[in-house]
Amino acid sequence: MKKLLNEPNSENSIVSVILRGSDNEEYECNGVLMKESKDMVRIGFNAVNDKVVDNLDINKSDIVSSATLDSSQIESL
Amino acid sequence: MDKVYNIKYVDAYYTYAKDIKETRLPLHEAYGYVERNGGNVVIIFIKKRGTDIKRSMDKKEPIVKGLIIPDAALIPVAETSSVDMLKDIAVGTSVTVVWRDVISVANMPIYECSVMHSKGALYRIGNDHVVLKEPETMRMSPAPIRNHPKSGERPTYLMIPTSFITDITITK
Repeated sequence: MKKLLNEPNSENSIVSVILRGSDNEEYECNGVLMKESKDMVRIGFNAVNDKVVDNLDINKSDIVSSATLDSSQIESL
Repeated sequence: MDKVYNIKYVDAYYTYAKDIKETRLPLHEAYGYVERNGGNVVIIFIKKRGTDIKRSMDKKEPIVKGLIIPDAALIPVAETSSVDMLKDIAVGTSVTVVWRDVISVANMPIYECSVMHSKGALYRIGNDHVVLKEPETMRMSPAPIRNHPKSGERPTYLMIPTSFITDITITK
């Protein structure tokens, strides 16, 4: 996916997020950090020719924990 | 903790354009957890915290959000496959193509790709894909059987990765 955030870096930030859903269950997801504002983050899961076609907006208040993954934590298939 | 994967793959696509020139399979890229199910690659975007994907698959529990792709969609497999079935079929011939398609899943217990039947005129045979003109496509599985695209509006051209094809027959 093309660089979506963190302009000074050549690589996208890949993040792992634990969030609380509206059903009060906890969920986990991973993807490209597309956007971050005061209250929300947008995670991209899937892209076609670099254009993200599957993403999730998460309210920061619903985030239980998050971590940035480095390349050693991501495998290619 | 499950490993996170970066997956590069190809997919079929269609267009309503009146004419097409060069056709090329777009590059798809995803991040997620991965589990293989026979010839299917299950990519999980969102799962309940701590869930074991293999166990969920065995118990046929719904996938919160994910994608099922044929293993033949993975790059570079998809770029290097050829279909012997195509070698005796001339461009312009009416054909029925049976192929496995990528399926997006949300809150459903689906762990296998879709199976599609497309009828149309063989318009082009590319390096890694074929093009059908005025295709009529039915999704045969998962149930229910239905038109593809769902709207029923028939595209003008359908591009199918060669590696997705499981059968081609000449239509009388």
